[in-house]
Amino acid sequence: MQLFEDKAHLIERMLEKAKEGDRRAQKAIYDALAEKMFALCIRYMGDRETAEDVLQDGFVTLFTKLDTYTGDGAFEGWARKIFVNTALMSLRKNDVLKESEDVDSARSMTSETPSAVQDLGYKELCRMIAELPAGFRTVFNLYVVEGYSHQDIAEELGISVTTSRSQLLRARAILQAKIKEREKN
Amino acid sequence: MQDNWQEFDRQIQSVLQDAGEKVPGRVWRAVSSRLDSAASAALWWRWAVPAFAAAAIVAVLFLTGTIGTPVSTSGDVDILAETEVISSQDSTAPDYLASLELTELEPAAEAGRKVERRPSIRQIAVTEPAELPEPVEEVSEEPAAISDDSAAEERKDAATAETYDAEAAAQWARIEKEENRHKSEGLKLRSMYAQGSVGGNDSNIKYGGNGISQMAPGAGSSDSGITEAGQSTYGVPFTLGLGVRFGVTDKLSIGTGLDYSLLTRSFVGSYAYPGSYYGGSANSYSGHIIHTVQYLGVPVNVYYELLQTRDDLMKVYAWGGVEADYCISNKYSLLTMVNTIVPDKAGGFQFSAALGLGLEFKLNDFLGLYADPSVRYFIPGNQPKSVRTDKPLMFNFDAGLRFNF
Repeated sequence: MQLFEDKAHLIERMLEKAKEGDRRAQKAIYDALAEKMFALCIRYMGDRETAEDVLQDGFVTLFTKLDTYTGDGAFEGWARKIFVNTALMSLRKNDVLKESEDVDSARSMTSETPSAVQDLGYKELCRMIAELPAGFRTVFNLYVVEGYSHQDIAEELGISVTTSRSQLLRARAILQAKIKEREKN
Repeated sequence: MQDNWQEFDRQIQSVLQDAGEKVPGRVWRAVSSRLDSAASAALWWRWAVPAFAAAAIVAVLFLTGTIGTPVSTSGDVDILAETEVISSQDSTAPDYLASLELTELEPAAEAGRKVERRPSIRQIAVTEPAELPEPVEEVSEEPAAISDDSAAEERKDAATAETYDAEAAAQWARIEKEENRHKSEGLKLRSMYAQGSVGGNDSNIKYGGNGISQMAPGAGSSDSGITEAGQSTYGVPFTLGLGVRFGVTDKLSIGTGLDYSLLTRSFVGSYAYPGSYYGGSANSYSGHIIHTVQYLGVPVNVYYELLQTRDDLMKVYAWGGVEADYCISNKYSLLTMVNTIVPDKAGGFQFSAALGLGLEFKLNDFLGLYADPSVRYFIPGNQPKSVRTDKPLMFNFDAGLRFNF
């Protein structure tokens, strides 16, 4: 969750100037964050094209709301919330968060012991996550990567806690199936 | 099973947590552009309202005459008495000539003043790098592509970035070349301008210690036959000009050009004309006379930029300079005797010096709003009587629209 030390210091140094609208300072912050935030956007949106739009919207929001960052907590964490919220807004706008499956069908797929994922490369794992249905993918990202609780996810997405749980199980199961299939090949 | 899933989640988190994806350069360009637009909009509302309000107030003041109220000067009592005698004794003159009343001249038309506002090469160099492409670094993650489409997209982005880099490098080379040439040549033509200005008199500026302006050399002393009586009512001085401005440094520039000035006034007086008019015996006209003096001037001004907003939307500068005006025309019109123009001696120079502040507000690349107050002192000399000779220290407030070339 932490930036490399030099990037964190760079952001700290540039923050005041960026708040004043200094474009070079903003660019420095952009350079420090863009790749990680783009990866985040791709994971949520599932394709690079829409992820680019979300990345762009996220940075515009970040720089225009920069003066609301009080310095409490890591800047990257604050920035990350902006990009997650921007992605969620885009998904809600496109009405792709309604997909869900019943808990039973999800449970039926979770009986096997999970395979190890360390052999997977980032791109391959990213591709597998991108192929998940949007609802499953969103819950999976929020729970596994961002560390949200099911209660938080339910409030954020306007779904029940049970639905959040079921979608997480379903997402894990699908990913598990994909990993096993890859191992077989 | 729960522990297994926790381990599964942890492994996925470790792979995804610090991963990055190469970002196409177009994203930053789009972000930068949107930030520019947002900043421009904010700045526009922050400055345009007060700027327009100020311009409107100044315009209203000029139109209603609060600024530039025509100045009255005392006349020569003896001349006035003599004129009255002539009028009363001249029973053959038309009645309306004797009963003419003073009327104020219409203020001269206002016009905008153009001041150069192009950014210097150094300013371009400071403000534009944000638009240049950032070096794109490869992500340290595995190079495997998500899909063929994304790989193709990345190749396309890389090609675009290379092209853009080449264009950027060429642009920087041009900037450096211009900068070097600028340094080696010392002066560089920065802009051309067209300007219009209206000089108003501050009626609170008093001379002579009694609140009444002192009389400049009277028109009656010339050989034109005009004898001035009573007070002069001045029209607002009006100037149009064209010029060029040279950059000395990024903040300092020198401007010169050619100005045309029109000065008018009206007064009650008499004219001893040759021959007999109206078949009468008297050879004089008495009544309202309009005096017009025209100058062509060459200004030399120095401008120093004090403040400039990041987006070049607004700048504040100080300026000062001198001007030499050559009198090209000096004539009188007898108001009620149509087509009667009495020429007087023209020629000679009127020198002046000015100091001022300027505020430029960019509406778009070609149009600007300005407010440009200044004080100008006209050095006394042997020039026809005008507001400049009568009130040599003048306050000017130019406001209007400026067109940039």
